[in-house]
Amino acid sequence: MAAPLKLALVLAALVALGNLAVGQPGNALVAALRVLALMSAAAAVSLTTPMDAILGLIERGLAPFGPRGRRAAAWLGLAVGLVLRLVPQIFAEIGLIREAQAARGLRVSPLHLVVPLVIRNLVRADDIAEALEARGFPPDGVSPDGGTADRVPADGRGKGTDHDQS
Amino acid sequence: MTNRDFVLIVLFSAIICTLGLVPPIQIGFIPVPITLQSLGVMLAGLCLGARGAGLAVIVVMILVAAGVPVLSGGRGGLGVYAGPTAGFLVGWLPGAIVTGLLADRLVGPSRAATRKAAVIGGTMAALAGGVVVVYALGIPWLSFIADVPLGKAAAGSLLFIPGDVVKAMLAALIAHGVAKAFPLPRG
Repeated sequence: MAAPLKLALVLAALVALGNLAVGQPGNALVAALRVLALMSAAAAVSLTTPMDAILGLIERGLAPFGPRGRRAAAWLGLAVGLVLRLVPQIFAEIGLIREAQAARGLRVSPLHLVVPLVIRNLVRADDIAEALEARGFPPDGVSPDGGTADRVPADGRGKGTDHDQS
Repeated sequence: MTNRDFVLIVLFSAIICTLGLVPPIQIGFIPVPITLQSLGVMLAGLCLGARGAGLAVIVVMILVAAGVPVLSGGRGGLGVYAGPTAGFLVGWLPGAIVTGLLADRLVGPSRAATRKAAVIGGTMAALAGGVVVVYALGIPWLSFIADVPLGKAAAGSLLFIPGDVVKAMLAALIAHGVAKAFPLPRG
């Protein structure tokens, strides 16, 4: 069964159990069916609509806000693409960090997992920012909030001056 | 906003999504396994400040709405917003913003803070934003959709509070560790 429908069934069952647990059994069926109806209607939309169509809808919704809206839409599209590209990469890094720590006989704690994970990714931020710069972002030199973005000068904030100081 | 600010926001969106893929962790005295995803939201607030964290969470919420299974347990799609727990997701947005605002007041510029100030102030900021604000939206929403009395919905949510308190402390420790290695321009 499709995951969104499964989730709807599980949550509807939990709502029924919750109603029973707080001593209102007469309410359980109605509340559970209501959740099921709401969630399966939403799931029907999600299951039949490709991601691009929903993102396109959001971008069209931003269009009436003039140039600011169009810029926000452009950045949003880029942000979504970048996140989808980065998640598998970051997930693989989690595996690498855990392996490295296991090899050193360390117990994996969230603290010792997330600190190196975040630092690794922040170090990468400058490279990605440079790659965007090379591809002509921000478009027209204007940032999504309408201000003029400081273009990164060739010798300036580009290659991680920030973390070199630490 | 520079390209770098934008990339930092996107990186935190991606980190929040990826932490949802990590299997829930069982910690000794805590009744339910904790997922690291809401830790990512608190962390965004502490590291990026209100504006950046708010934008990072908006990107995650848009991915969810677009049907990408980025929430812990592989959840995603519009159904999540129609469900009884949607308040806890929607609460991330004001939660991240409040965490960021308070982190500015309580911790100050990430570089300047001593370890004690960063951890105590950061924990308070993450607790207020990531726990108080999130539950303040999540519990009434749960009560309304599941049609259970507000008090009972709150009592049912209590089970998750210890894990979230631990996460707030972890977020402060992590944010301090990150700030030491990589000072971020917060704000």
